[in-house]
Amino acid sequence: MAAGSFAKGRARSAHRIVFVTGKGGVGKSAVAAATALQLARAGQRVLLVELGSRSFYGPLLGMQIGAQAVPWRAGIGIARWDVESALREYIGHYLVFQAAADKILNNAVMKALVAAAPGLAELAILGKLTAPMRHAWYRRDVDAVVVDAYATGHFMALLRAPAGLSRTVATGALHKHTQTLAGLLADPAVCEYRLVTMAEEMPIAEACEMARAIRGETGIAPGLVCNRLLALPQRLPALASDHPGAAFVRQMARVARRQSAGLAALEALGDDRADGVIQLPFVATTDPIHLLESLADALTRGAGAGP
Amino acid sequence: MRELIEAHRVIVCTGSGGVGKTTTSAALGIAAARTGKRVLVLTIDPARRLATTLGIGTGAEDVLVPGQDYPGTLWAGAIDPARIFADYIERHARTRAVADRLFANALYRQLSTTLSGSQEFTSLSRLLDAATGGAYDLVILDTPPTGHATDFLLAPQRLNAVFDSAIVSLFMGRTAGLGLASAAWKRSVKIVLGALTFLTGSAFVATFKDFFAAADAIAPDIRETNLLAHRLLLDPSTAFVLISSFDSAKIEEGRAFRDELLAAGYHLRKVVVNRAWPQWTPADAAQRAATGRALLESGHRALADLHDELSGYYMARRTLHTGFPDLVTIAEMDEPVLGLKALEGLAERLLRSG
Repeated sequence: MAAGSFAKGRARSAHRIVFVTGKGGVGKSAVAAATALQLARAGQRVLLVELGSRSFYGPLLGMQIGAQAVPWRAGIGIARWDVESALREYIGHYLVFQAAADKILNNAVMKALVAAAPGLAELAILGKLTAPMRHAWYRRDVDAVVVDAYATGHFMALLRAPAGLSRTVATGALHKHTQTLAGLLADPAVCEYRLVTMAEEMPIAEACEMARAIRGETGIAPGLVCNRLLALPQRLPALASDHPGAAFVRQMARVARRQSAGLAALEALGDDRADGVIQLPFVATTDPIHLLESLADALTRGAGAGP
Repeated sequence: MRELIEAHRVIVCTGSGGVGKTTTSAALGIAAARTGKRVLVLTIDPARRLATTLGIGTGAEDVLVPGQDYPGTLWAGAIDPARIFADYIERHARTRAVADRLFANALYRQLSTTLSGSQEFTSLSRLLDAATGGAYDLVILDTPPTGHATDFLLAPQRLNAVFDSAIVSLFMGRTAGLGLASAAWKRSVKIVLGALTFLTGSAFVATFKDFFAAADAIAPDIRETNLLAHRLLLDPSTAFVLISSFDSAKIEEGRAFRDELLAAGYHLRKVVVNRAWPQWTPADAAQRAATGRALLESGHRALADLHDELSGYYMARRTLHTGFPDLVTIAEMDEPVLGLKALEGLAERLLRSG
């Protein structure tokens, strides 16, 4: 579908969507929050969305995060969307008697539907994300929604849900929606993918696979972010084995080799990645705000700069 | 750690994704074999190299881990949800017709793997078989890498919810015998099914209902298995080990998980924090200072600064209060833990850690 075909129906409150994903444990959520900071610094109004039944940002930032966006910084609100509520909203929209809907669509039924229907949960989330693009009356007054999305496998399931469901459900209103959603996910004017990794063997291998998978599914090459890099000097000395710093320097040399091999593998992705690889530093702090601000600084510097 | 291995028949390794659960499960298996046990390690979706190390191929049988030389014996098995679910249905379906009807359902393949709780269900089914089969002294279960450690425990409930007879009846349009105000439920059923039909078309709803009708026949068995598994998990001879890493988010999560486990009556015996600090970090402040000085003296200012920054950070993290009584911290290994030698090294650390 051509990008322009959405322009006519695009409400004033349509926005861009930045999906942040990656292997579990690489710092995806931190990078998503830093992305929100980066965009807000550039003057955008941002909604940072986390998915799932538990909040990550709440305990991290000492806030109560719910379904309604809670203001965090100037220009940034944070919300947590859970699947059952999103599905209830989605189905409730089609039920004639809203009051009846709330009573019937209780948790047990929602849980059963979510559990049983392949892709329905994912569809509900995607539907909620893209509602301003599809309905002129749906308001979300932001310039960008940054999604702290699921890790690898689950994220690919999310991306593939519209196409998958479109095959299983060949008729009905849902079928039309799945096609619209698939189109939006593949529209670079609407969606951007940020794939986070670390310079270690398994995360790098998984990131390369995932970059190809994202591009294969959406036609959009993800931007690659390599996290937790140490800023090491170009050449490391070879210290005598009785030097107190010898073990440290040997380990730093191993890290340097691992880092350059990892970055080279990411660079070699070519068309399967967008632009250059953004290098994010290992930030030696236990203060979450310091961490997020440092990461946002590095994101703003962009690809081509060191960590 | 020896007491843990000695005193239990089942060890369940839980924790969120990316903390080294599968690796630690395998290392625990080696540790147990070292103490003379016949051990089975059940893993989910191991990395290719780890699978090779453990000797796990595409077969469904447990394999003897190659290259081992321990007082006991170490076996390994991979949990393949699709296959286990199919095996389960084969064994529990009353008739061939019931099994075939399920397998023939267009939604079956998708539902059996993506069905919320199916991965966990198949793990527990496999665990039950292994733990009650008598072939092993100890079974170690690696759990699926979900976002949150508690998902594993909640999964059977979710699966039960799907096969709950009331829910099944709702989707099949049956309301008799539910003991509820019939007219109101009938109306609700009509509306929900109507909405589903509008959304998905009548063909999909028919397939959906057919799945439930077919699954209905097997639902009691699923509930029974969940019940038996639940009892096994609650037994004092089943130890839960939480694997975590030393960052504030994981620590928070760990606390929440510990609370849930204790509230439900499970026995959380140990918390293993992986990659707590790098192996090169000196044990005390004096050594740290000496290293920094030595680097400065030999003219490596940048490295001295980096060393100070990093070791300061790891020292601070080591004192982060976690509130866990039985905490074991493991240093970051210099090389990735994938071959048997590296796993044996980790096993040694675990045994020494107490």
